[in-house]
Amino acid sequence: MISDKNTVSIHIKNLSKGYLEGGRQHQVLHDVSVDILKGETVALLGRSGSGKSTLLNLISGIDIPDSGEVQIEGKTITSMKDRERTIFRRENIGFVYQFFNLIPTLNVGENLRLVLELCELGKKDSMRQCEDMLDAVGLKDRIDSYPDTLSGGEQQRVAIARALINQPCVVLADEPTGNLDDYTADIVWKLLDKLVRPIGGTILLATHSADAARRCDRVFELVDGRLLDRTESFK
Amino acid sequence: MGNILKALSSYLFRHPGQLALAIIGLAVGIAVIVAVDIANESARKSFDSSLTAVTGDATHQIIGGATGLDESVYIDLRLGGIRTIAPIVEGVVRIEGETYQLLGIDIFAETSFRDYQVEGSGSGGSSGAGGVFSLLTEDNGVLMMRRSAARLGLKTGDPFTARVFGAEHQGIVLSLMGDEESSNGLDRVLITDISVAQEWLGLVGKLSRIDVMIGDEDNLRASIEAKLPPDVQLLNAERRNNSLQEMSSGFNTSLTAMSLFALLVGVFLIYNCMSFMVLQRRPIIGVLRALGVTREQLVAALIIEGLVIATIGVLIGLFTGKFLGEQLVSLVSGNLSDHYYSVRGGEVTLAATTILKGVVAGLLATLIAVVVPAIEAVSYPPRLTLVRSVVEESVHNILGWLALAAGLLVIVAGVVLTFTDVNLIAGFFALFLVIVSSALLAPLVVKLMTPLLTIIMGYAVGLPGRIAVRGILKSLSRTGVAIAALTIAVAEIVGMGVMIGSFRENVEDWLITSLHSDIYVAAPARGGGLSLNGIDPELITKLSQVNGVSHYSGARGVKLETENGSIQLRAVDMSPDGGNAYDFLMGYPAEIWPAFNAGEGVIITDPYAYNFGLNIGDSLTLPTKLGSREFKVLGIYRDYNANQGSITINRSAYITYWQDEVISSLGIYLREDADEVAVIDQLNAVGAPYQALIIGSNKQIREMSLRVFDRTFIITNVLYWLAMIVAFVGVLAAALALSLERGKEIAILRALGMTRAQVSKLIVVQCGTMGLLAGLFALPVGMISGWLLINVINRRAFGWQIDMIIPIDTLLSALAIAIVTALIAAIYPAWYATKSAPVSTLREE
Repeated sequence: MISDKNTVSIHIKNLSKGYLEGGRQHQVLHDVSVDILKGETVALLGRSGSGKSTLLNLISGIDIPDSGEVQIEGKTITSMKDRERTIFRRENIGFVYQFFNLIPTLNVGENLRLVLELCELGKKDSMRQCEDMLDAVGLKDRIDSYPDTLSGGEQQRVAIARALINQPCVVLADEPTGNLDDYTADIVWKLLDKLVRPIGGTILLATHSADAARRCDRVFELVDGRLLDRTESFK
Repeated sequence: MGNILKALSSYLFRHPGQLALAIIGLAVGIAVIVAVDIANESARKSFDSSLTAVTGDATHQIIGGATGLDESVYIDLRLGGIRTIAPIVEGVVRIEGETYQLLGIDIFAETSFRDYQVEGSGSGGSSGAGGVFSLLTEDNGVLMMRRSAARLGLKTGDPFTARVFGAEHQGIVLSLMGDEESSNGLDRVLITDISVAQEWLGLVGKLSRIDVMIGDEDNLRASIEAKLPPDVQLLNAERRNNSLQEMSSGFNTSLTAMSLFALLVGVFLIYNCMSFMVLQRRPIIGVLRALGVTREQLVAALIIEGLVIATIGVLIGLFTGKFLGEQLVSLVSGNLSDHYYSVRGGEVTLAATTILKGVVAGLLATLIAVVVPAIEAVSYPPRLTLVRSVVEESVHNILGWLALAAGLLVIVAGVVLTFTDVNLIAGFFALFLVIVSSALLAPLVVKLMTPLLTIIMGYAVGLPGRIAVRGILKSLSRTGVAIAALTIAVAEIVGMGVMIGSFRENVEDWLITSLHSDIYVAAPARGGGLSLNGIDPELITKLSQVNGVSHYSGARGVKLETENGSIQLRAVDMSPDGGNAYDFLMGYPAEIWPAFNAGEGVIITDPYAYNFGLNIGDSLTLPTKLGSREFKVLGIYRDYNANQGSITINRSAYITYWQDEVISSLGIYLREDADEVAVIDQLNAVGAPYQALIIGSNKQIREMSLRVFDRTFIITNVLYWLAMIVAFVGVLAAALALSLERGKEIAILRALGMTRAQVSKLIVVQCGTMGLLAGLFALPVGMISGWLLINVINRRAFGWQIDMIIPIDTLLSALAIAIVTALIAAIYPAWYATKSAPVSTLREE
């Protein structure tokens, strides 16, 4: 995928989302609008419960907004039906979670191949792609290992490999280093940078870490459900 | 304690579905246990009460020989000064399609024996006889139980038609007995004057028995015995009743076998549901432990909570079980009335022992289901208690021990069988041990088979297939118990299928072998199986002259009453090729037939030989007209005709010893060119002016026998479907448990791009695989159970020797049933898993 900084990758317009908690409506996102360009790396800061994960879930189509619109690569996913959204997600979005979220009953290779299998890629091609990707994250020798035998850093590298294996145009990372020590976090971050930039993918990173934010092209902060541009503060 | 309980139980109130499932699981388990027990108990009690009511206070009974009991015996005893005796004529009549026992009594002799509680007469023996005396003034009058009358829509003074083997008799209801609630054991019993019973049953001048009351006076017994003809015996009433009871115990055997399966499957279901509730709350338990709650406090709180839930489940189960039991009793009563004795249907007795069994099964299984995982959960440091994998690891660690325990149980079963030759309870115990051992082995079997199934499902369904199969192994604490329950239920289908299939095939072969003639003609048996007059000799000659008849062989079937029960004695004129009708299991036909035809001994059925421990060359004693005589056993042949077995003797020898030349049945051989249907029509036409005859072709009798056979096992089908329902709830509970526990995993899969349909497919594949695993394991377990049912249970209960046949269609259908049951159980969990939005699960994280 070629980087084209002038093309909008993620277009968010007047996005609002609230939850009913204990009988009271809690407004998490309030009229959020932003455009993220193709190949851009964007950090999303905010306190716990500020709505970072909710925004990522809405962008990925895992959740649906109360109002507003999300477009990815020109496709409005908020108007898609559940099945359409699911298929769009599997083909265009990679997700990296804080707690890795690998499938415990599949080994490392199978965790990666699952995504390709869902995209209906042939077995031979998926095997090759899986090995290449694990090679890239330095875990080729752990292809048959199960997640519970890996360290936290290794599990997150597998999770990154899984998120990127079908070369998605958008990678959403929800506190990807939040569960790792500084040294391992640095490795993970470098890996993400190394693997996503060459394919021109867009990264949206939800984080508490100022260090991580500094590595990004732009920085936003969610405050009281509104998105504030803090890029200047991190330059 | 209050707050600990609240902390634990608030989870259940927030997940009412899980709580409801546990209660439903428990209730279903209890209901099946109770229902089967009710069916068993009601059948037994019904039999006991009718036997006691009909026997009355008699301590002894005078029983006639092969040709019945002449009423002159009674008159002689009376004239001899013996007063505590009452003559009885009994037999079976049918009213509007229902079977009733007709009891003919002598009113004057009767009052001290039985209490009929006739309406308007008060209660008690003597006063109750006030209404009984109306039998003397009205022709063809009967006393009928109020319940029976209500069922037939009759009231006092109403006429009715009773059918006795084709002949119709008009009766009138003189008085009603009992009240609407109780049946006094006389439901389906009609009381009439002895002369009416003699006429209706074709026993004029004969009695079925004479009831006798003997106190401690030994001289009275001796005095009676001195006055009896040689072939008439004075028997102990209690011993005789016991042997009659044994006759029906064979039927109860299959019910007991089924209840054993039901009990085990029910207990597994209860264990599954209750243990899941504890395991589900390990994180809460871990937090409470971390906060300083002691192990003892936690275990106590879980036990209290478990017992409260169990009590609710048990109560619902008892009521549901009673309802289910009523339906089963209807089936049982139909069957028993067909074969053994009249039993009322539709009403059940919820005996204290049944309630106790249900309560104990429910509470004990709950206790074990709660205590084992609770102790295990609190035995880890609080941090580890929070980790789900610790539970599974501990389950995997005990697989070896479970296998060892299973092996030990099989060894114990083998020892029990080796050292108990004929004991039926020991046979059941061994069967029980084998089933329990298979349940203990189930988790290990799952572990061993999973790698292979993972590869197969991987190829068939792709990686979701692998996730599904490995998920089973990963959650063995849930799936193991559910698979064990389903295995037992399916093994029950296989075991009973193998037994019934083998039995049916053996019976079919035996019918082909033993029904050698083309057409059978018999005089209807009346009055308790006696056919006193047989077929008129003149009629026999006319029948043999019917166009198309080649030749015939005559036979005489009688019942000999002994303290060991009734013995069926069959006297045959062996036709030249009649010997082929006997499949000898012991002895050589070339040696047997010459001796048999010379009257040197008898041949006996295999069940008779087994029940009385007889072998070739042994002697058996029979009551003949000339007194007791010994007969040598010449051969032992296969027979499925009677529970107790029967004896066959050469007719010439029979005539010598019993001085009875009557022929009660004919086996007719046709000429090659004869038209069977036309000959039967002619035989009917020839016989009609003389007497009622039962005429049937070889094929008709074979088909009728197999219909009766199939009807006998209707209840078995119902029971194993009940067990399947229990197993279904077990799989449903396990599948729901997996869906709930793996909610996050499912959410991740959805986030990765798996559609709702694909997630559903994953759960369906997982449940289907559980069904496949249970089905595959159930096949060998079921075949072993089938072997035990055939060679141990049936042999010990009936004495029948059955060659085991593996019915492939039964095995395949059992496997299909296992998979389909599991797939049906998957529907709701599959729907549930896709219904919940992944975001809510991921957000909870």
